[in-house]
Amino acid sequence: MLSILGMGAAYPETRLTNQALEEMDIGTNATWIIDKIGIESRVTSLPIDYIIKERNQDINQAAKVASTNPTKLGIHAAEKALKNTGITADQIGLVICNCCSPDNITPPESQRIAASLGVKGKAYDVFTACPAFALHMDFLNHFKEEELPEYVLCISTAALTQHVNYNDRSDGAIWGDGAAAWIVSTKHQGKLTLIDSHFNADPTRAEAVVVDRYSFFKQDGRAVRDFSVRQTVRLIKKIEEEHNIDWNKDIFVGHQANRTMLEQITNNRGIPDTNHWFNVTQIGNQAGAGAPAVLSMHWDKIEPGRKIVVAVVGAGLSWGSLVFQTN
Amino acid sequence: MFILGVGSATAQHSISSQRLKELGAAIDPSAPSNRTSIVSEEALFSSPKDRLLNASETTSTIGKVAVERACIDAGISLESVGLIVGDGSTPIQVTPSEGQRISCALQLKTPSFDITGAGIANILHVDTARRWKEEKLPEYSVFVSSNAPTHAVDFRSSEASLFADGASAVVVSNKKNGKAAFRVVDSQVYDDFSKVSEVRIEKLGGIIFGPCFIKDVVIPRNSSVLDLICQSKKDLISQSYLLLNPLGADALKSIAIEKNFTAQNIFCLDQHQGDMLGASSFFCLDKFKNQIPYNTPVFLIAGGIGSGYGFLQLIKEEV
Repeated sequence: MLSILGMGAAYPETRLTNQALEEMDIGTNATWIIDKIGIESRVTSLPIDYIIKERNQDINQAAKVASTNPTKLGIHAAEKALKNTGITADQIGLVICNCCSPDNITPPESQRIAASLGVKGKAYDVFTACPAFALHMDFLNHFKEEELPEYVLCISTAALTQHVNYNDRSDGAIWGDGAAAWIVSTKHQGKLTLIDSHFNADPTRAEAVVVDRYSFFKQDGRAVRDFSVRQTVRLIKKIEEEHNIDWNKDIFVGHQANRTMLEQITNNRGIPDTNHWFNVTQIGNQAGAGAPAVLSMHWDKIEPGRKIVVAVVGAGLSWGSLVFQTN
Repeated sequence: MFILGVGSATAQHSISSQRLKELGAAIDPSAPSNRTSIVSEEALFSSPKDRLLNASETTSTIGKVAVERACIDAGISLESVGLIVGDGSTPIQVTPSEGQRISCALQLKTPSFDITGAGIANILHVDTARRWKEEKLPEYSVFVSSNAPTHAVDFRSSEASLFADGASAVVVSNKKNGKAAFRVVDSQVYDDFSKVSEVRIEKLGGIIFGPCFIKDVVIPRNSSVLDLICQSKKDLISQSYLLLNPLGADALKSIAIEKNFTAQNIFCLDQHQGDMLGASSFFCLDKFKNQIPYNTPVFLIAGGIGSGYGFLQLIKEEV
């Protein structure tokens, strides 16, 4: 059985507030943002001056002025995960990584990060954008146990604010940059043991969420929002039936897209606020890093004898779910 | 595990080394005489962005054709595919994944994601699937790599002339389906991170090559794979077939012959196609599959772009 032994998350330090967005005069205000997406601030690798003055209209400039990039964020998150697990990089037998916005498309992000950390095992990218946490765990769950090394490092990283058009009132308010990393093993038990995993996709809708290589993030907002809520509710319902979930003690972590959507979901399923963990209100949508970063932030609060349900959706369109037993 | 079908596809434009030279390009001595490209002749010296965005085809449209051909070769319908795993080193979008874009082009509601391995992708895909629990592999899975490096090379540098645009795909299953198939006998993928960025493809720019990446990375890594094969499977070597990717093929062929591979059993893409990164191995298999006899070992080797390198061992079986 797969177990998560330790986790880490990393973010840039710059924070873009709702007030700053309101002052940019792009047709939004702090009240609208809170009402529609429930995000109070988001972290970004871009300087605030640059966002306000240039609105990131030339994304070639973004990479030049950014304080960090997905590779560095991934390395920092991985270093924290290694430290929190109490192992060193040379003990890692496999690195898999998901990155929506690499600065270099080749070599794969996992290989660049593995090289920097001093990993001696294998590395390749396993990619589906936002549902990466579910994909990675489900992907590892496919392997015969003896085919997995003692320790696997999983990473999801992105700096999607570098692909945001800051003249767009919605996109500017959604995205945050960040990375999450987690160490997985079948040979050691950690705080989280995976008892179920699921990944699926409907690629006929792949064009609904796109990050152009040379341009901006684009999405069919309404369609994606409806899909996200509906699909997440569907995933949770199935898990509730199959795993005897008790929302009075079990925990829910959703895709960190926006707080308003998460509220719709938790209201639908009767999940109390105390058992709904999230970070989107302060960090923004960190794509595939969102859900694992939430778990990383709440790691010390994980008590034995519970289940943690993760349901994530995103580009592809793809979706997935995980059920962990806490130890 | 079996490879039930192989398919490949090229970009629509074809440009000769002779014509490239006339246009002012530098030509590597080992370059093929032709290569396929998504880029029209008029656009060859424009920016990578302009070349990519103005092309009339994409890696997804080319990958779609490779998948269709692989399914025809396997004798299965597209709708019966239960999983599509993609790879792409030169995508037009960084999200969604190449596998999802190709599935979209095929109009398939099939679970899809990418396993991205740069130059080793074809071999990595099958090596990965081979390590899965049997019940986790759908009845039919497709693994596809599609790349268009000619959009990002600088044709004033001679390495540019070594590359081409194309895709290859295989249909994989744990069972044969009443046709001849390649049994997957063995595979290994290794990683060496020491020169991982010797070849780098920038998201917003072009391909950056280390000065001697073929001599210092491609040939040594593939040579070490040949050593590993020869050490562990030496009794098979003289009868085995060997498929080489285009980069460094001449030197690797000589090395392979020194290691007792039989010269006429060594195939590499001929003068009419360049290296397609992770798609080269199965492109080569598709081209030569009918020349490989039954019950004869076949080795595919790859490595040099990205950290991965390794081999796939197949044997062609009758119905």
